[in-house]
This record gives sequence, structure tokens and C-alpha cells, in this order.
Amino acid sequence: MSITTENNEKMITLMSSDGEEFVVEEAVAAQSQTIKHLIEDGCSTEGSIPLPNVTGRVLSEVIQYCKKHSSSDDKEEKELEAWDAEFVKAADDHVALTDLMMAANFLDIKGLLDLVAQTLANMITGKSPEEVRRMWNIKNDFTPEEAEKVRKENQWAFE
Amino acid sequence: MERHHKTKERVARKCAVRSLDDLSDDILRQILCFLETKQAIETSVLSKRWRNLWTTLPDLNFDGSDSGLFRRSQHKFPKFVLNSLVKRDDKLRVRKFSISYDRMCQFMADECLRKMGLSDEKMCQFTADECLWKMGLSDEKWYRLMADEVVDGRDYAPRHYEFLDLFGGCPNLKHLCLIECYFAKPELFKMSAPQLQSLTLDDVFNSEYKVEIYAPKLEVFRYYYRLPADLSESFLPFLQEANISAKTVPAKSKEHRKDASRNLFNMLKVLKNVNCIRLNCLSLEIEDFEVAIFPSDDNPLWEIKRYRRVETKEYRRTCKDLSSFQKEEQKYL
Repeated sequence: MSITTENNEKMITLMSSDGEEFVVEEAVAAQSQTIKHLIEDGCSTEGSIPLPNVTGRVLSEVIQYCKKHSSSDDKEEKELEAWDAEFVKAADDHVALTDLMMAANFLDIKGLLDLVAQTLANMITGKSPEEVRRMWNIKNDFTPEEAEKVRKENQWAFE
Repeated sequence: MERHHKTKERVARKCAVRSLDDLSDDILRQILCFLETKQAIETSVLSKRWRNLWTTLPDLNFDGSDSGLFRRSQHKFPKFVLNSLVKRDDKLRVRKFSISYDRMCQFMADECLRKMGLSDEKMCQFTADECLWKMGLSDEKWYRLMADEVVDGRDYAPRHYEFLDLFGGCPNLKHLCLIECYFAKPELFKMSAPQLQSLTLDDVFNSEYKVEIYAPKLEVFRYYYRLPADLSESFLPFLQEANISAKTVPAKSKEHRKDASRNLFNMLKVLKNVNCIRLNCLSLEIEDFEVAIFPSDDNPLWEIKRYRRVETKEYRRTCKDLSSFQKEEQKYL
């Protein structure tokens, strides 16, 4: 359903996978290429846009990001950077960051995707494989022989 | 030891319900692109899924101020770059290739490559084909190859330089900026780049080179060097804008001045169809100085009048005889 506010801003409704509804300005939501295309295809005219891959908790964070980034212009770049840093820090438990990453990918929001990817990359940097496995719950399915083989194969990078 | 790890893993599982393994390969790639290539390769030991993930990354990053990775032996760095290029999946195009100024020097430095057993010829081929070729495939708007004395005349004279077309392996190269790169001895700087749109040559030569540039799509050409280059053999039919600066008047001998004049003359002849040309005043001074040596209808000053727009810069600061140059400037405009 589309509503128009007093200052003539077109509003649209997004619905999360768990049924939560969010009413946002079209310009804010259109930062997501996925949503933009859905709007262009006329999906927003009849009721809310369902986003089956994104929970309400994650979606509210995404919207928070999009709102901030649609209201800022270039001269506020520094301030925006600081805001971004705070934003990912607040979401700094692993659950939120991987969820946020998946949501940004599904919704196709380049800025958010890069921001979260960079944050996750920073969390890998400088860690030993064992630390990365533990931190990110990655199961080591190599047999000791295979592990040795991979290590030998890429020995040139480990030196 | 085994049990100890298992306990730790169990603790970790409690804290983090989600795992990086919940993410698709495509998303993981986007994360790995933000790592230095070395660190990305190190993820190959994490698990079977991660083993070859790094080979499919579009970005290569050798740019880091990394944690002393190659400090112990700098010869390992070129080998590392080479291996990274060779072992990645070469069906996938490189999107971004980052390498710092220092590392580029290190990468191409004489000794390292010699230690790898590469001959001069091989090296030229290697830098052009392997490294630059991959960079040339990048879709990035600009890449800037900054390399001070990358290949200097002393040792890097390839024996068969007539076959050397520096960017011949870069069919998709669109923008090239070379700054302070000294290429091998040959008096010929030859390059063909069918897609090239802009070219900057800043202090690239070390003698009066003959320059052969085959670039049918080139629109913008910037040239900064103390001597004008002889472009008479170049093919630049689509050129729109040229920015020419020959920095100093060659004062060595009359012969040198004559060469410089002839080169500038040839350069201007090739550039006669451009919309906008900017000449540094000293380029004009060269011309002005030796104008008498050409017969009048062969004189580039006649050619220059036909340009739609000529700009001269900095003449006030550098010219002794201001009044004559103001006159000259009017003549060109």
C-alpha cells in the first residue's frame, strides 16, 4: 500500500519474515536495489512488500542504516563514517553481523554490504586459522593428512 | 590436546550460534576481498569448503602494511605475487589489483627477479603479460602504476626490443598513467592499446625516444617530459584533448635544439585535429627558438593556428622576455 505524507513523501510498507511491518519513505527503502526493482515492478502498490529472508530485528537495523544514509549529503562524509563505525560496533556480536551481511546481500545495499564485509574481514585479520575456526564456529573437516597436504600446497603463502 | 580443543569449541558454540559457514560462497568472497591476499590464502586451511575459495576472488591485494610478512626475506614477495596470480582461477577476471609503490619497486626490483631465475626478456614478458596484463583486465576506471626506476636502462635492455610492445597483452586497457617509469634502453617506446581512452606519460623516458602509440580510441593524452617526443609514427585518430609540457629547453647544443624542435613539430602534426591543446610555454620557447630552421609552410606555428583552442600556461614565471611571449600567445590564440 502506498501512502503519501504531508510533505508529499511517498511511503511504502516493508514486511519482515516474522510478520513485522515497517513504514518507510520510498527514497529510504530504494537504497536497496532489490526493493527499488520491486517498486519499479509495481509490487508496492498492493499492500506491503514481503521480505521473506529478513527478520524484523535485522530489518530495523537495515532501515536505521538506510535512513541515515539517505538524509546525509557529501559534506557530512566524516560524520557519516563515524556513524557507520558506531553502527557496526553496536551490532558487534557475531549473530547480528552475519545476519546483517545476509540481509545486505539479499537487499542489495552496496554501502552496507561493504561496511559489514570490511568489519568481518577486520575480525579475521591477524588471527591464526585455529582462532578463526573457534571464533566463527567453522568445523575443521580435514583429516590430519589432508590438512598437511593443503598446508604444503600453499606453503609459499605461509612462509 | 585434542580434548582441550574440543572443550574450547563447545564454549565457542554457546557464544556464537551462527557461523561464517552459514554464509554463501558469494558472500564469503565479498568478505575475503577485504583481506590482504596473503591472509585470504591462509583461510584455505580452515576446512574443505574454504580450501579453494581464495582462488575465486576478484580482488588481489598486495598493498598491506602487513605484519612483517615478508620482512625477513624480500625475495619471497615477488614469488608470492607470481604464485598468487598463477594459482588463482584464471577463468575469472581480476577486478582490482592493489600494490603499493614500495612493493611494486620491490616486486620488480632487479635482484628479486634475478633470484627467481628469470632472464631480462622473461622478466619483461612477465611484468607485462602476467602482472600488467591482469591489471589491464581490471574494470576499475584508473589504475596507477607508479614505479620509480622500475626498469632502468643499465641492466634491462631486452635483447630483442623490436618485439617489445609493453602493453600488448592488455587488450582491454582503458586508462593508463605512467609516472617516472624508465623502460629499457631501446630508443623506441612502442605500445598498442586498442581500447585505450586516456594516456598519461609523465617523465617516462630517458633519452630522445621515438614514440609509437597505436591507440585508435585515445581521447586524452598528457605528456610531461623535458623533451618533446617524436610522435610521427603514432596512430591517434580520435584524440580530443592534449596536454603537452616539455619542461626545459635543451641547451646542450644546436643539434639538440634542432632535434627538440623537430620532435615538437612532429608531435604537433599528429595532434593537429584535437579540440584542445595545452602547451607549456617552454615547449613554445623551443619552437620559437628554432623556428627559423623550418621552411615557412612546413612550420608548426602555421599548423597551430588551426587548433580551435590553445592554452599556454605558466609563461609569466618562466619566460625572460615577457613582452615577446604575450605577443606569441596572442598569435596562437
